[in-house]
Amino acid sequence: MSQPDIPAGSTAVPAAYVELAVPVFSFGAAVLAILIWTSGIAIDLRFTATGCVIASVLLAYLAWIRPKKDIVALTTPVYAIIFFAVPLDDAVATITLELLYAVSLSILLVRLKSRFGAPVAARVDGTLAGSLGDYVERSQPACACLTPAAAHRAAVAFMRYAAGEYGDVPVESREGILLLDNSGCAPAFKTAFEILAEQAILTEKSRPRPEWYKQFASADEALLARPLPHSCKKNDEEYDEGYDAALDNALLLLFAAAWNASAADRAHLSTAEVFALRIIEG
Amino acid sequence: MKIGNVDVKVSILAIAVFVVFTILLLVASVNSPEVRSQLIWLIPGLFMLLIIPMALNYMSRSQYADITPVYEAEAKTVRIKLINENMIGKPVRIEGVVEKVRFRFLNRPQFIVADRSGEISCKMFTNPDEDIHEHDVVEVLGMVIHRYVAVGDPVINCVSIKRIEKKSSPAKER
Repeated sequence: MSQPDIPAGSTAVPAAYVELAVPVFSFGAAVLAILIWTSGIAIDLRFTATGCVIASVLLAYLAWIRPKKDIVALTTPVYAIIFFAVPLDDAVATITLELLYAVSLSILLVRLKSRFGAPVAARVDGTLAGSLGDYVERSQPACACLTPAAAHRAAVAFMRYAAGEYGDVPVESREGILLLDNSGCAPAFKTAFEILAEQAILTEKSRPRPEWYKQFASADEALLARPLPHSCKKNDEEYDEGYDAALDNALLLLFAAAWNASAADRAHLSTAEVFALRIIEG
Repeated sequence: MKIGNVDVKVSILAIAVFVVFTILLLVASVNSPEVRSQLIWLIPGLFMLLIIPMALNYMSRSQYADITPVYEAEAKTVRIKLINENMIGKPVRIEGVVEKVRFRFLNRPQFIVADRSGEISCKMFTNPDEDIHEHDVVEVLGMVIHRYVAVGDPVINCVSIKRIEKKSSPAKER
């Protein structure tokens, strides 16, 4: 990784704090309104609704940073404005509305966490998340032999495949293989380009899986993100997992090569980080 | 109801709306002479509640029938896991098992289709040619889009979904 001095995984604001802030602000607003009301202080209670509005914005933020978006949570600030923009003269009504709204936000927060997955917060240190970050870091020594030009070809081939532009992948892969000649790099990089090119051609031409296909050698396994299948025999359902595993490993190795040896391509590669993460997490 | 080659289907919701308003009109016309005098407009208006959804369904289904061959020619077969935001706007073909069917009653069914690599929502803006149920093995043709127009995870705007026979994958190690 480019900035090993910065701890991996640090984010601008941890999502857990934001999650905690949703009930704190919403129920806090209601509690504050109750305290003001019971103490008899002559202040307009409606200003306490600001806490509910802030809690709604925070909930919308939590929905926004998840790969799978929850439209209900995203639109809560709109509902907050609709509910609290219209003045209520009765203090009891204001407090009841705030309490019900706080309960609703808490239910939506639980729903968001249980049904819409973990957040992918913007990382401030330029590192990669989770197992993808671990793999890219692990493969860094093996990528030291790569020239920036070869790594750039790896980035382009990976991004072309991610974008579904399969017709362009073989050209980029061939150029990448040429740039790897006499580099002294592990043969796994060349194999990755070959696998990507072969499978891209098959996909582009809508051909069925071939009888024989390119595979990584067992000697390459140390460099691969996912272990090679124990056997490449078809199972009871006539499915051979080796074909898909070869592509997954090829994509991830090229991503790691590009990330480690071509810093200029990182911004572009970041747009496919979720894609790479999905591949590595199976 | 079949119009030309297109099998037009009205959603249960549209029929329910028609039935509710028919009952309301009957009750109102029995109790109010003023309503009875307006029946010449109200009855055609009532039937428009059925005719408009039928016309929309016919138009969307005939358009889907026209573009399906284009997708059959251009769509690439991909694993669900490989579908990502960079593929927005690309025609794809996936094969998998239907895990859930939602919003069928709106004639806007959303199929959750899964293969060995993952699952994805396939949104359809009209009803499909075949009645697709959970656990059916299907082939889906469609375009990768965002779930909410410009944001959200990638989903498939489904143009065609049909049941298929389970195929074998003859692959061996080199």
